[in-house]
Formats: sequence, C-alpha cells, structure tokens
Amino acid sequence: MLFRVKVLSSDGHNVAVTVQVDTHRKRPSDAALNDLADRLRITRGDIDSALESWRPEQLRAHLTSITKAELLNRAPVK
Amino acid sequence: MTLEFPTATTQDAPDAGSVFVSGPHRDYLLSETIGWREGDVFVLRSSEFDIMAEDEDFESALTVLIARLIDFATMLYELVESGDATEDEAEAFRLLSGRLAPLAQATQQQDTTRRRPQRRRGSGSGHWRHRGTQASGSVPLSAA
Repeated sequence: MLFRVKVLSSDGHNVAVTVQVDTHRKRPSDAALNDLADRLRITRGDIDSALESWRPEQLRAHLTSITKAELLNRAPVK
Repeated sequence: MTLEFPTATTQDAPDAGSVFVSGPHRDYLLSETIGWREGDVFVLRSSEFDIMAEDEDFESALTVLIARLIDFATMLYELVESGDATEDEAEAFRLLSGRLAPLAQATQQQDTTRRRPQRRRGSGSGHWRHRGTQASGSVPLSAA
C-alpha cells in the first residue's frame, strides 16, 4: 500500500513523500525498513522507535523542517 | 531463456538494471532499477520512482515491483487529475505514463484484432536486464 504525505519543505516547496507498506510479507525485511527510514529522512537506527512512538504531527513537523532537496534524497541519513 | 537477476550483495554497491514488461511484439521499459541481495531476500529499488520490492523469490520481487509501479501510476493519475500533484509528481506521471501507455495500446490493439486471443509471447511478464558490469565475487542465490 502507498501512503503519501504532502508537506511544505523548509525552503518553501510543496513536496510529497510517498512511502509503501508491504502487506505481502508477514514481517518487513531490513531492506524495507531501511527504505522507509531513507524516505522519511530518519536515521536507519531510529526507524523502529519512530514507527512505534511518533504521532502523525511529529512526522509532519519533522518533514517540514527539511529542504526539498533533502526530502527527495534517497541516500541513508547520516 | 536464462533469467537475469541482481547478484550484488550490498546496497552500497548494487547492480544497475532495467525492468521490462513483455508486450505482444516487443519489450517495454518500465523503470531503471538498482538491485541487490540482502541475506536471502532480493531487493529491487526503482532509481526513477519511489518504489521498491523485495522477496526471497526474484520473480515474485519483479512481479511486486511491476504491480507497485502500476499502482503508483494510478495514484499519480488521480493526483494530476485532481490538481493536487506536486511538480515532481506531475513529472513522474509524465515519465511513467509515457512508458505504460504504448504497452497498454499494443495489448489492447492485439486483443481487438483477434476474435479469440491466443497466448502471447509471455505478454505481461516482467524481466530484469543488467546495465553495465555485474557485481563480481557473488553467486546466484540458488547456488548459495
């Protein structure tokens, strides 16, 4: 399933971040979690806690604090 | 036909490839893609669209990737139609629909010219082709 979050980036652009949730596997693989972390611009080591504890407003606040170029970056967050 | 698949074993140095879908008369490029194996899972990640797929079975990963690309195109179409698409999404829709439309037209044309559609040459099935040099020092999963 595809989920889309549209935000105004910190440098004033409309940017949509689309993430996918895998429903065809019982348990997400490390690759899927890493991909999710990269898209949400969260360090891979923090993705589990973000998924467990973040509220939608926190995710939106996080994404709006990032520039468009960084939101579209798919490299792992350092 | 030997099925090609990525043999790289890390995302840091993935194999570059292209995912094609077989049409009635030729193959149609859907997405440039990177691929690698992570443990016993094949991972395919589009390098053009925000889509990835993974599965222990490579053909299943390919099928999932293609299905997700079509889902993504549908979502983009609805966003463009409603005027809610961002510039980047509108551009992604132009690129992806430009690839899907000829395949859909060719398939539809063949179906309408045949009263009883015969089995096509693997029509609708996907495959991967390497670009550049395959990663060395890795073995096919089936041989691991």
